Amino acid sequence: MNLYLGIDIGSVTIKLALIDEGGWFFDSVYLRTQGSPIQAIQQGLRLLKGRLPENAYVGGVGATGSARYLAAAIIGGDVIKNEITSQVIATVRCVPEAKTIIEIGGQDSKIIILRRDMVADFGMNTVCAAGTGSFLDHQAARLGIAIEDFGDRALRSRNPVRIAGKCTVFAESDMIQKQQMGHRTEDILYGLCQALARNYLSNVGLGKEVRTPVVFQGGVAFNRGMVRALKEALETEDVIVPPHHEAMGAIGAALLALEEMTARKTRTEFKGFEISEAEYKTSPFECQACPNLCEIAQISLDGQVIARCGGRCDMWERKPAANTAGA
Amino acid sequence: MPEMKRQATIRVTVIDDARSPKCEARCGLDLSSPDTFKSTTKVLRRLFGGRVKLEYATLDAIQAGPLAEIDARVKAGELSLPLLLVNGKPRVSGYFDLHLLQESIQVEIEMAAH
Repeated sequence: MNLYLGIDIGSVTIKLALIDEGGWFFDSVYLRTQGSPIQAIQQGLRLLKGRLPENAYVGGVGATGSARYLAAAIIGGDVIKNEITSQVIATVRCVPEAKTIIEIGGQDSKIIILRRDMVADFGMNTVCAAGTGSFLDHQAARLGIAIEDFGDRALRSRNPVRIAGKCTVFAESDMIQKQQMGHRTEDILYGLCQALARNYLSNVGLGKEVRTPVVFQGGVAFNRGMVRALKEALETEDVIVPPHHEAMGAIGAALLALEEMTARKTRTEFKGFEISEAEYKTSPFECQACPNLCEIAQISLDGQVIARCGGRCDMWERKPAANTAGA
Repeated sequence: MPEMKRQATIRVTVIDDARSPKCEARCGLDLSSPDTFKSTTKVLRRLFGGRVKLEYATLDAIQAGPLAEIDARVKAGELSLPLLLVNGKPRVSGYFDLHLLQESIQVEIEMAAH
């Protein structure tokens, strides 16, 4: 059985997805990176391997997400693509009627306007936390509520509280005040969902021509309170949360790998599931390329540098690991 | 790198206005000021070769010319400053950092290739 692996690694979560030769979904894994992307990749591979049939063979690997260069170096990537490209490929395949993609992840968010299966416009945010999942994560932690329970409890709201939260920093003080005033937790939770929907649309969605059907994907789409809040804010019921919405980037990367390997007709660069047991070593150095003087992590396996990551730009991630440090 | 030089130039325009209200939280690294032009240009050259042309503009400067529509949309509240345009199209409305800047450019490159 020939399968294609996609990996989407961000700053908060990692998603691995397998598709078959026909491009159909086979399996996926969704994990928190918890600040250790390499260990998360290894854990994801271990989980997938344990669920694969014996005759499974990985014929190609695609990597996406903010740590895509690192993932490709560790795992052996055949194709490396931006998240927008990967999300679009997967959405066009899974929800062909989509006109707008709203993607809200742990620390970034995107909007992609599709017309006739092509990207007509897009917008992104990775800087302002107020339009991302970390906004909800942070407030849930403050309220002592597991993020997994957030959505269902928010749906029990009867009188949502308006959280004046254009910024996650100021939302917290407003939320504390609402707690002190005796508002129900459920009403505060749904108020936070509404605040995130508002923030997203007034930041990433600003000036974009949102048409339906809207496809809502990314980890935040697990939150049913957010789905309702988005429908309210967009004034439409035509918001689709596709199956495997959290892994759409990884599915897209796998589809791109399938496309690439079909055209290339060479062996995959995939290093095998054995790398999940490899011992990687990390050592830092300071990049001298610009005044930012970023600290770069150099990752080695068996004494050989295989990848570099960190810093405010992707310069070291993109460099072949054979190059030595000290730009 | 030589392959990149044959490809079309990607024009990155940063529009800001010193008089406009700013987000007080100031999350991330602010690259919306012309003061960062030299260092940002240097980083973009390392990442994309000579393919990317970076320019800064104020709202006053774009009132007439090809970006006049952007000026009108900012004034209508459809877009907020600072604004990052790639090939004249708004990609980031609000603060951005180096990662977001390079991702916006990378998407443009991948879309052109795909």
